[in-house]
Amino acid sequence: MLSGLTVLIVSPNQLQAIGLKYILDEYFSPDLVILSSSPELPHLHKADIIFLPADLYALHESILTSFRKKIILMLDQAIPEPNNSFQYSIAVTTSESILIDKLESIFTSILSSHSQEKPVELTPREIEVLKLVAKGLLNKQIADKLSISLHTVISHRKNITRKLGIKTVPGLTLYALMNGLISSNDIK
Amino acid sequence: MKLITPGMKMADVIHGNYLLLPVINRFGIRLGFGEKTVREVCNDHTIDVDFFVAMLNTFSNENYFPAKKIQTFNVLTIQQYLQRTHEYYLNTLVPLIEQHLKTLLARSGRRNKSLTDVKKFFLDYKKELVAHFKLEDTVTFPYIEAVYNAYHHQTDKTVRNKLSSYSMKTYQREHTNIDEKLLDLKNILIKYIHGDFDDASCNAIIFELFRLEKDIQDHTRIENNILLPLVTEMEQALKIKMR
Repeated sequence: MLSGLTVLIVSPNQLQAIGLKYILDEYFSPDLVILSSSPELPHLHKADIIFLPADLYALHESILTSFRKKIILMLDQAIPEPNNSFQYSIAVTTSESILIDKLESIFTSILSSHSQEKPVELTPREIEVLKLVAKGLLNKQIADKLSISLHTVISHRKNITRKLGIKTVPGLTLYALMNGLISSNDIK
Repeated sequence: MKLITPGMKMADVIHGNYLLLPVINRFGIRLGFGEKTVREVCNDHTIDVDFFVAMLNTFSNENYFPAKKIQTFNVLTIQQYLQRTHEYYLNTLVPLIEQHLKTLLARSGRRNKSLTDVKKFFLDYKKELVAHFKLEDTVTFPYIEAVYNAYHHQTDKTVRNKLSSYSMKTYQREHTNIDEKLLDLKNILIKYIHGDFDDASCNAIIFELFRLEKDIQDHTRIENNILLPLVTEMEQALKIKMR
């Protein structure tokens, strides 16, 4: 559910953090879970979702308030909705299966506000670049052939790899062959 | 995955994770454990039980990698284990995938040309693997043995030459990522295979690619985080000694 996202767990309580990381990895598979004992700016900026105990939030409110939208507060006990001013919160006293349901609905709501850019089909230009890569041309040669800058070729290649999930040149060649973009006669 | 301990029954270890079977084979341990514990089986084969258990646990658990602890084991023991995994890849796993590819081609429609391309891709990858392992088996590992012997026993003159002609730095530089193409192939089969193809043999190939990938990752982790720092340390000590 959280693929492509980074989760930050800020808690001096290592056992709590490890437990939460375990649940996240097991049920929601985020790309990366960062554990930290105190809120640090680089982490806060990098993270898509932040877990934080309520007392720590109170302590560092001035820094944390700008990250409010992606913070899920960890409360010592469940607080009835009307009294809980925070948008997202979980109680540390909750049982595992209830917690998982709760997290699922929180993540769904966070993700829907996220403008999710799904990897889509290759553009005609990317297909052109892919064909040339598959034929064995180097980036510089592709740039000359299409009269575009080297930088543009590289950015096309990055997008192709991201969209297809194929990194190596032989892998891209195989993809191009399988989809009839090139024929085996095209390969030197 | 549960942590494996020397007191556990060997049979229970496999019941807990059957993917460990090829790993224990590398130690020369074979099926038919009866009621023997891990320790007993290791004693029968004169294997260091602590090393055995450490290898099994790191293989089973992605997050469990006690580098400090593994670094206390003998370098030659670690190297021998790595060499055995090379043999396993080349003599067992890769031929198995080739066999499945053959079946895939035989059972799928002849018109599906892309399967021939898949096979060719794998055979090219195999060549790369063979070259990679051969380099380690014929250059890196003998070098490590020489360094080990010089460090622990007599510093003979040949070591000086060896140290100047090769080093773990060279190894580090030349040590390429061998799992990238594997990931690509897996992904291409999962996402983009089409036309007439046999499900069972295609699934079998993907299973084995997953296994090979996991095994290679474990292998690389031991090379980069254990072997490399240990031998680098010996290199430095030797250089000081020979000044």
